[in-house]
Amino acid sequence: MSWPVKTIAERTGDLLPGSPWTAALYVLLTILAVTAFMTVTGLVLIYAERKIAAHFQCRLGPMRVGWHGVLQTIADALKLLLKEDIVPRDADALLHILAPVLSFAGMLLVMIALPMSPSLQVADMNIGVLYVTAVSGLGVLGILLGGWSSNNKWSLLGAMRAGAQIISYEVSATLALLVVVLFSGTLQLSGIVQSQEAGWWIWRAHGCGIVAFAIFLIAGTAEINRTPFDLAEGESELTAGFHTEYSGLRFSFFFLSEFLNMFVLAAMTSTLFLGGWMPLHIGHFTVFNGVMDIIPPGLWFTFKTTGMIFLIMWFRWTFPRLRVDQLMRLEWKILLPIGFVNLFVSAACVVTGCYFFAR
Amino acid sequence: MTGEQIMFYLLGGGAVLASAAMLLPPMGRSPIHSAISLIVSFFFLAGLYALLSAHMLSVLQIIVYAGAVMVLFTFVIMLLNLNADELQESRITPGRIAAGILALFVFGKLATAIQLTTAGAQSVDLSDPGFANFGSVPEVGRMMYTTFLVPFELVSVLLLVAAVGAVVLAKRSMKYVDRPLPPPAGYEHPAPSDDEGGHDAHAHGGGH
Amino acid sequence: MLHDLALITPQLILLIAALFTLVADPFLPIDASRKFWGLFGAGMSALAVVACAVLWKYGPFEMHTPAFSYHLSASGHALFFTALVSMCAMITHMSSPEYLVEQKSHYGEYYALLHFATFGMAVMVSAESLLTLFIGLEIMSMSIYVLVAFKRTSQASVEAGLKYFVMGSVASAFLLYGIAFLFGLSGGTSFIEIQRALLAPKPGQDLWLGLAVVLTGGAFLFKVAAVPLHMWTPDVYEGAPTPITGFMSSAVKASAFGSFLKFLYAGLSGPAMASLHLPLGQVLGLFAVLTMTVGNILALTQRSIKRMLAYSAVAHAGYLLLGTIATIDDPTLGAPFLAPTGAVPFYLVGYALASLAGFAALSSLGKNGEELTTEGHLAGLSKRHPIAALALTVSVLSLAGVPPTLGFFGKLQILRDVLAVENGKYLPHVIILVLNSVVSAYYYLKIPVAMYMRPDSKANRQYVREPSLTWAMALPALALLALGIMPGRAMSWASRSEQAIRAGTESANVAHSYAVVKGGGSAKPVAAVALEKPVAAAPVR
Repeated sequence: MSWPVKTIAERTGDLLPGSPWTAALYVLLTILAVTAFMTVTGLVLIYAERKIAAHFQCRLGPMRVGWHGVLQTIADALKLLLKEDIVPRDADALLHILAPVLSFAGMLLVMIALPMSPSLQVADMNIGVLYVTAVSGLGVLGILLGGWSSNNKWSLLGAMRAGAQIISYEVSATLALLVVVLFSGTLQLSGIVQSQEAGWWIWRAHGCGIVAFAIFLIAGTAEINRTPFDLAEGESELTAGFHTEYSGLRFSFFFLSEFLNMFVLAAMTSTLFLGGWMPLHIGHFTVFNGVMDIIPPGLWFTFKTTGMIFLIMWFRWTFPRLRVDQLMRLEWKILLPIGFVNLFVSAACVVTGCYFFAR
Repeated sequence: MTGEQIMFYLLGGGAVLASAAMLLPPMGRSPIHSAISLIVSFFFLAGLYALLSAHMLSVLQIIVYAGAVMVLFTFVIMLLNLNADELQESRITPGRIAAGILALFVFGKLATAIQLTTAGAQSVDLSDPGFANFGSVPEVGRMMYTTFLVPFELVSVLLLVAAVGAVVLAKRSMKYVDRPLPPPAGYEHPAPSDDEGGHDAHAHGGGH
Repeated sequence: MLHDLALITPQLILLIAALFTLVADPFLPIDASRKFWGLFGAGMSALAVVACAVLWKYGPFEMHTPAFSYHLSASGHALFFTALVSMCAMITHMSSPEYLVEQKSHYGEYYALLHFATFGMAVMVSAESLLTLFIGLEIMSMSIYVLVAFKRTSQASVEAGLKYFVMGSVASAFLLYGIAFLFGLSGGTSFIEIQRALLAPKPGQDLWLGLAVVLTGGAFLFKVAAVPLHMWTPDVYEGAPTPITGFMSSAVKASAFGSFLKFLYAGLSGPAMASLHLPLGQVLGLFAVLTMTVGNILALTQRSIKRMLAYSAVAHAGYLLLGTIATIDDPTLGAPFLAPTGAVPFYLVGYALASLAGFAALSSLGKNGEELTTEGHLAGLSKRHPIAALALTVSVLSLAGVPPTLGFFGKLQILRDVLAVENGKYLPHVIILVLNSVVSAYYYLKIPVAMYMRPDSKANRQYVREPSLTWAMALPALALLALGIMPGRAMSWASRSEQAIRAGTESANVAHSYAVVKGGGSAKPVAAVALEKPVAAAPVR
């Protein structure tokens, strides 16, 4: 079975010569759809986090607003929107306003490249992986600027921690990502998904795949500042870290981008290591593969991403927060050397064709 | 004007504006605002590279400059946290005027040179099949590992030197163990490591 | 591939030495590291010299694979200068350990960085492309910046390092900018590509080339410390650890001039330069005269010997620049027509040896974090440390150009060559050089006078005496005398080194447009004549 990829950008391109206005409308609709999708995902994720956290702690979580509290998040969002938006007096107003936007924009730009199914991907760049690495760097800039411009020592400390942490862990994440690039031989995200037709890289690249997956997940969790790596906003020490001075709409931008970053990380992990929208295939077992193909690719993507999100939320209630020095040691003395060795071994595997179902 | 030209003027104009904002007030007055303008300028440049079909370069520009270098830049600026009186008010001095005139002169020369060069130049159609791989990652990689292998490897040595040098210079608390001094005359026990211990503790304390 | 790797054995030896030092140093006990690294470094550098000698003897070799041949060469020029800088490194490695221990900054990284610096120089002088040249230059500069600031407890040292770093970075940026223009003009970075591209003029070429020449020339003038880009020299030379000062004034200067010669010959030659109407020879002559005069006059007033030698280094850069004119003669005509005598490489040997001996001797003065290197501290040194006094004396005599030493012949060679250019076109420059030498003799001779004729004073009794340091000052001093008595061998090496660049340049050029008429000083290149008539279209590639 072949999987022809048709991106939204391509469809727009097809429309362009004949009817430019339809194409423009198409672009507009896409932008609206992406924004709506992000907002809804964000709300769902916040609700999920609350419920999952509650159940991990043998609580019920939000129960009052709507059925099992489903409307709770919407109510909170409304409350945030109606709150007064404060820029502290001695803050750097321009950067204070710019920071959450930057943070949000970085994540939004990543969203464009995510392959959710063969027909649901906004743009499929031939350097997709590099692109994702590049634009997700914007987030750290937002955090740094937000922390500095607030003119508050807790904010600044939080921002500094976040900056150091994200830059450090980006190295490991990129190394792990390169393993998949090596195996699939392409930087195109849809190409990476299609290269997993004979099996997902997590098991097809035997040891290397699993190690890279673990490194990517750990480094990714650190990059999005989630527990156990949430030193940037460690509430016991820094009040709320870099967004201490934020309120109202701008705070919700930071909040939302934090949750959506989790979605992006989960989606990227599943795309790179778990085959993205590619159903579970095992080499040439045609019958098995056929059965798996019955489930549409979009659902596969959803299942995998949801699973990864659950895993990341699970981390939060399992691991205690690291200290700053432990954090740095974990990256530079443990993850990075392992990442390098792993990359080296993977290169050897690729050259010798030493992985499952190598052609 | 074709779409490509429109894009070029947009991106180029943006880059120039951002660079100007980096130096001139009101943005240029604060180092951090200058840094932000520089980042914006880098993004426009990345767009120009993409327009030239150098996708790889374009993304690297963002990853390396806007992502890593500039984050470190802002990091340092924030840590230094210079205030207004530490940053000297920029005054117009004869030296600066001379430098400005020189810069204008060089700019004029460059502009003339560019005009002369473009006069006889032919445009290249990048959609030509001969340029299919132009600027792509495999092509850049191939060049790096064939024709430019030696400089590529040399750059790794350069980076190593820079890293080692930075560590050597920055690690101020590197413990220096002096040559053990002979005990002074009439002193029974060799000096207990009182001083040594203090040194040690200091080295540890400073290290983190 | 293996064949080409074998041709860069000297560079590889230096690189391996650096990496080994870096990796092994943490595992070595401190006492052992103090004894070991200096000897190891000297040994590896000596090995690099031997490797150069072997390649030199059985060479010249050509690189096979394009990956190497575009970027590196093992020509006589490359080997000569690689051997020269490795030799400088060897002496520096020998003179360093005791000094560092006394100055309380003995760390293993020092030796690794010294190896890296030497490696960078070796790459720089054997570069066949501007890219490699630049990266080599940067490897060297980075290491030297750190080495200058290596005495981290001394404010002067750190300040010197920072100063050198900031100014050097600006110079590097200029060089890179110039290289970018050359690349844009020719579409390639290797010298051969540039030469070929410059044969066929393009619209706007003169402007681009002019900018490139100014920018790259400025950067090189900075690296060799020519006036008016010499401001960094005294502070950096004074603040740096003394062995590093010696290394800078010998090896850095040698490699900078080595690559400058290569760049002038191979990068900026051909008819394109002729149409530029930039009298490069005269411009260089002006800088040379300015540099030597300013350097000497400022050196006259210095009390600190290191500072004085720094200004003397500036002055010597002036002499060498004048020598450069003689060897490139008139690049505006695009072709060298003198017989290659190798005046500049030859002079560099003498200058490097003299600096090494002098600074090694200075390294032995001072203890416990103190440097005793002013003129007053030298009083009566001949009684306290006769070998140091003798080495320093030989060194300054050679720098001043007094006959039995190598420095004399170096200067003589430069004078002869410069006078031969276009029947004494540069006679005024030569007269100024001679006057400058006379002036310099005054401050050079102050040193032996202080050491031998002033009474010893108790306050100055702080000095180090240790075998490897003693050898480090004795070896170059002996070499200065030995080569001064029998200069023929060194002269033939130097001229072969220069022939090698010319041969490379000619093989690229001659085939295309002009043949060079060799012979007496009055010979004219065919290209100059041909330019008056329309040149037959040069086949490109």
